[in-house]
Amino acid sequence: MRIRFVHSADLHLDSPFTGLKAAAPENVADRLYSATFEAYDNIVNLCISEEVDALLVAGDVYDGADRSLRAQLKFVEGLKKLDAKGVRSFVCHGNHDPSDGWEARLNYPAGCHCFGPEWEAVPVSDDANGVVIHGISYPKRDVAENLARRLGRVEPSPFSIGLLHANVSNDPNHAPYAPCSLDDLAASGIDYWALGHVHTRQVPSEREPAVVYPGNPQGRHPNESGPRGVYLVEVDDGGNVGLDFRPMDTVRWARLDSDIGAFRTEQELLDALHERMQGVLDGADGRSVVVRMTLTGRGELNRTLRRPNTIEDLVEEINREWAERSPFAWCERIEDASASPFDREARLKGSDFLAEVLRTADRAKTDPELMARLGGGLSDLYQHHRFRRYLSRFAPDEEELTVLVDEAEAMAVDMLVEDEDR
Amino acid sequence: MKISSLHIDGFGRFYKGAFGPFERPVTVFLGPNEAGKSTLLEFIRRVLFGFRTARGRAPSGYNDYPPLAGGRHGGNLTIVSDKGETVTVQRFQGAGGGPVRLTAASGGPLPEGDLSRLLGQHSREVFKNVFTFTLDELHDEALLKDDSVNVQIYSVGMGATKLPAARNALGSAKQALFLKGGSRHKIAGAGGELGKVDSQLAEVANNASAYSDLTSQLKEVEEELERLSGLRRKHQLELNQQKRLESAWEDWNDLNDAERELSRLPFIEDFPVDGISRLETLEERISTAQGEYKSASELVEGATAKAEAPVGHEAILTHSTEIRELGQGRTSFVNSVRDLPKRITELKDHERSLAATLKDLGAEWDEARLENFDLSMAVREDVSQYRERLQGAEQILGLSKSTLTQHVNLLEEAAEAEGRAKREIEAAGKPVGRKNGSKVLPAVCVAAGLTLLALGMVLGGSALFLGVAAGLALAGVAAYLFATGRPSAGADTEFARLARELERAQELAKQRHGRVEKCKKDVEEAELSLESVQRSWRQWLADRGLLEKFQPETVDVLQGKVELGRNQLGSLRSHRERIDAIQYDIDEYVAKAAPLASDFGVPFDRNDSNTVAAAAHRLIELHDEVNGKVNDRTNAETALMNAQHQLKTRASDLRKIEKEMEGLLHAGGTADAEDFRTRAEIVRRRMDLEEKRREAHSRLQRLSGPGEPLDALKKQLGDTDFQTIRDQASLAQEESDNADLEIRELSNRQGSIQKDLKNLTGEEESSRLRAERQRWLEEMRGHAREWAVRTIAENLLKEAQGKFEKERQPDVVRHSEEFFRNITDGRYQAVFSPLDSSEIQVTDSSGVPKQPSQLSRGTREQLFLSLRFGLIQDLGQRSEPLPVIVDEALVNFDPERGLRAARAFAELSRTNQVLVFTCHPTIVELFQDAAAQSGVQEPQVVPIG
Repeated sequence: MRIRFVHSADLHLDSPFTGLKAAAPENVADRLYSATFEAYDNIVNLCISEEVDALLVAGDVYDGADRSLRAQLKFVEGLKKLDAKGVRSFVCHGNHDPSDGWEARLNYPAGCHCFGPEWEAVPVSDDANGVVIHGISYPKRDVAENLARRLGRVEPSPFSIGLLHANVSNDPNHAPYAPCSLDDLAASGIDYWALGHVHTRQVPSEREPAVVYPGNPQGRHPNESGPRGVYLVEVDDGGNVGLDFRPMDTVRWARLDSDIGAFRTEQELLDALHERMQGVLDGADGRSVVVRMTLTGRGELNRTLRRPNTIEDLVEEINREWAERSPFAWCERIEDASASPFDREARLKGSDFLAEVLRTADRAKTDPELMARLGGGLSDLYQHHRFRRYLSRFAPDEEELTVLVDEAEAMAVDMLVEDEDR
Repeated sequence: MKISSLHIDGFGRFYKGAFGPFERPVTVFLGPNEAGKSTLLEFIRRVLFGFRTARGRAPSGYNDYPPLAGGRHGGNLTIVSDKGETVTVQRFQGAGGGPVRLTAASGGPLPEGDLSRLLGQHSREVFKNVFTFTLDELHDEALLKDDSVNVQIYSVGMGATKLPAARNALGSAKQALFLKGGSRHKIAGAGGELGKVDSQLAEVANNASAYSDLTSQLKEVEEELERLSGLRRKHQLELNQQKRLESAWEDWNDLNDAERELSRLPFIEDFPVDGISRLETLEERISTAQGEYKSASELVEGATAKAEAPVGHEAILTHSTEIRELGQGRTSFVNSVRDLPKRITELKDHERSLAATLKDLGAEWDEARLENFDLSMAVREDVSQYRERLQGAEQILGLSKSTLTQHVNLLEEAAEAEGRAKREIEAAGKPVGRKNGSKVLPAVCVAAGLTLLALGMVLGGSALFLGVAAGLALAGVAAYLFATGRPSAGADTEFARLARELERAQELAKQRHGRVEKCKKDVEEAELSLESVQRSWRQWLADRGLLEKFQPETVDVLQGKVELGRNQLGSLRSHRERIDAIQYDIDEYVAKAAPLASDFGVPFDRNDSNTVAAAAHRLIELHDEVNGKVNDRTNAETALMNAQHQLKTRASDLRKIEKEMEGLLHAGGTADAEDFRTRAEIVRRRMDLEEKRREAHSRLQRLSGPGEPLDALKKQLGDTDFQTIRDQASLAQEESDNADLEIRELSNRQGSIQKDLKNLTGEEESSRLRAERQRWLEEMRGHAREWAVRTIAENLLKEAQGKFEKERQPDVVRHSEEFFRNITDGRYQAVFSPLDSSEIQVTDSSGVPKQPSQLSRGTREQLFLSLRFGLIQDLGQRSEPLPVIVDEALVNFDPERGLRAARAFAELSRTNQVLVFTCHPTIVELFQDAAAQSGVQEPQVVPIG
């Protein structure tokens, strides 16, 4: 009954990198365009070189809006390559690529099985090892139903795999599609739940049943940092599951924070940032890296950073050094969250207007009504009829509002306090 | 809190400076520009609130006031709190703004934190913006503009002078990002770009349905293409069949023609291979061989004539050696003949020169004597010695004679001296006889001494001699005087001395005489010696046949002449020999040429050197000519032998070829060349036809293809005709072309579909567009966030302001009202802020409310100051009141306004210490007047600089 397979999910083929503010230089842009495809190629090659029995894709092969023809063709091309090498493939669709989405007329290879909108059970291979895959695809984008529960108790088999795109235990960081609990999954009698949807790899349950999210194989956002890939899964004759994470990404994301307090001059800061870039590239295993930097802390340098174009010049300086290499490290932006030196605690004790401003900001954090007043008027923009389709999802929530209030306070302080008197 | 004194250690231009104590409510620091007022003001601020903490570059316009005159950067302030405690605040530049040290009046240290209490928890900024009044702020543009005056004045009352500017900055920054209803803001820009990208994406999305259509179209096209290909194949086959018959037709005809003609031609067996070409080759070779035979005969003829030709004067070749010698000596002969007269002339010149030299030497001189005369070194040495000896003897004689003359002179002088001495003695002898002789003697001594002296001088004797003589004379006199002891004894002594002197003179004359005699003897000896030498010299001359009168010098000259003559004689003789040799050469050459010329008939005159040279030349020429002709004849004989041999060979070759020709004709079945040619032509024609038949046959076999017998093809060809074949072929071609055309069209269509499909599958446009969309989305999101931060900042300021207005503003306004009333002398009664309004209004004495914008500029300034004072008082009620600083604030006020403002400060000084910094003495007066009017203590004036 021994079986080896690759568990992947959330390929999001041909969907763009998000969060990029600056237009990438040509060499970088080319890599970014092709990064999801390259990661998929890596997966296909891994299956072939490891001679696995099957490739499992747990939904979100494409993004709904971005289900490009190129993506579909490339996907099928990969499956055909696998089929030619005798590797079977099993695909289910998720919220981003539901079955009702448009699909080009493509010929899937014989060795590929795409699950439909009802649970199906398919043997992994023609030989009689008895491993069965149960899978289901989203018929439409919004599936609020607990699909795990719909499966019920499966027919007993030597080893069973469940292929599903779902949010287990209502992870608040992800959309609540096909919500279910670990208990629901355990109740099904499935031995290995090959899940998709959560982009950060995690193993909510190691055994009985094993519940595994491999994460997406290529990060596409500043928050999707670190190595990304698939699980190479080996099930022994006793039904024991061995997980081996394999990075498949070709471009990595990194977020770097630098406290400006320690630097006296722009050059010192730049030197430190260069060092960080080197570090990030060194740690990327020969892959290219997209870097987002954030300058934090308080320091005199803030005064310099606030001068027009200083940050842009820093970005340019860094990219001149790092972005044209291969592999590259491209600094996509530098966010300035630093502040000028300012003794907030002392000023809070004062009786002047500035002290009142600081106290008001502090009060807002415990006074929801005040917080609401401070955030008043934001909907003018975020819900504006022309822009809401772009901005409504970015409208600041409570947490974000707190961050914005801090930034607003720093801005107000900068404006009210005279330089010399910090 | 009040500042009572300053102690500067080092700060700007100040070094170890102390100011204070300041004991009155108002202190005016008066000093000219650059005296250090601003420095003092900064000193107070920095000791109280710390030095600049920032490392690195200072903000523009910031002055660190380093201790230029020395000292440690900083110093002390002594302050007195409201409660009366005296504290010394000491601060020096250092880390974190400089550590502060507080000391109580008792000398004990106080915790650092007490400073903030003593400063009423106020920040440096509050101290600067609320408690310090400068010229600038009263001339702030905002205070002069009606539209913003209210906000400005109002914000002063909150201690937030930068609030209006902050609001404006936030507002305009927000508008640039987003303005409700606007279209030129950044969000709208990003929105526009997003819209564009979205519509491009929508277009790209259509590509997908196109892909499906194209895929099915492609399938249809491919099926149709397959059908047409089948049809075209069928027509091609038919066409190929007809083409095959068409291409076989010519061969079919050739085959038939060849067979027909062959049957008509006679058959000739065993004709020689390549008969014609061999015949022609042989004919050509015969012709060549005949030509060669003919030229060989001609060659023999020519060679025979040359070999038998006669040669004249052949005998000359037996004289080759003499002729060669004549040739070699000819140039030398010509030169000798030419040079001989020149040489003879030169000989005569030499003879003349020698004769002249001999004549110089004397008649007895001839060539033989010249040659035999002894010019050896020994002779020359003899002459030299004689010369020296003669000269030496003559010199000795000369010297002896001169010595004699000297000694004769000396003798004469000595004799004269003797005579003189005698005369003196005689003269002295008379008085001696008459008187006491002893008295005469000294006088005689003196006389004798003088005589001696005179004689010495005359004779030129030595000084020593004179000294001794004089000494002797004086000693004699002295001895005498000592012996006698009486002056009367002097005459005797003189006489004795003269006698001695005479004796001595005589002795001297005698000596000299002897010497003269010796000199005379010497002269005689010298004369004898000279004579002896001269005799010897004369004998030497005689021995050599020379005249006795010759001096050695003469002999030197003679030797030179003899040498010259001997050289001339040498040259003369060598010339003579040379001429003899030339003459000999000429004679010999003539003797050699003469018999040859006579033998070979060459004109010759032995006395005419020109004919001799010409004859020699002609003989040489003749010898060379004869030699050449004999050589030619020898060569011709050899050539003749060769030519005869060649002629023989040619004849044999020709016979061999003619035999070959006979053989060839015989092999061709004939003896005649013409007949041979006819038979050869028949054979060639038969071979051509057989070849043609074979080729046609094999081509037809190839066309009939594998598996199909040739006979079948022959049958097909036999059953049809050419026109029918052509008609059927063109029909098949036409149908095949039609199918081709359709296939081409469909193939193009297929290619175009495939290309479209490839474009669709390979297109990265959508990837790019989606990335671009994300970028614009991010851009918009970024702008939105910036806008949100500014909106919240605005709200934050508004909230803080609202709270301030609600909780603090009433008190501030209340305090201000009192100030304003006082400053305006009651022209304005009330200051108030309408409920829920960020405005300040005033009421004049008649109760009419007015906006600040309706007030005069002066009144606005007073209102501004009043509000500030109100705030100061309000703050003072909540915490320690701080000193108020007036930094030239009232300079530009007119006197009346200035006085009112000064009065306001005087009023304020009741609660807060007022420190005025100015360079204008009028300001001092202003404050003095204001104090008097307000009934507060007169200001203390502290001069600076």
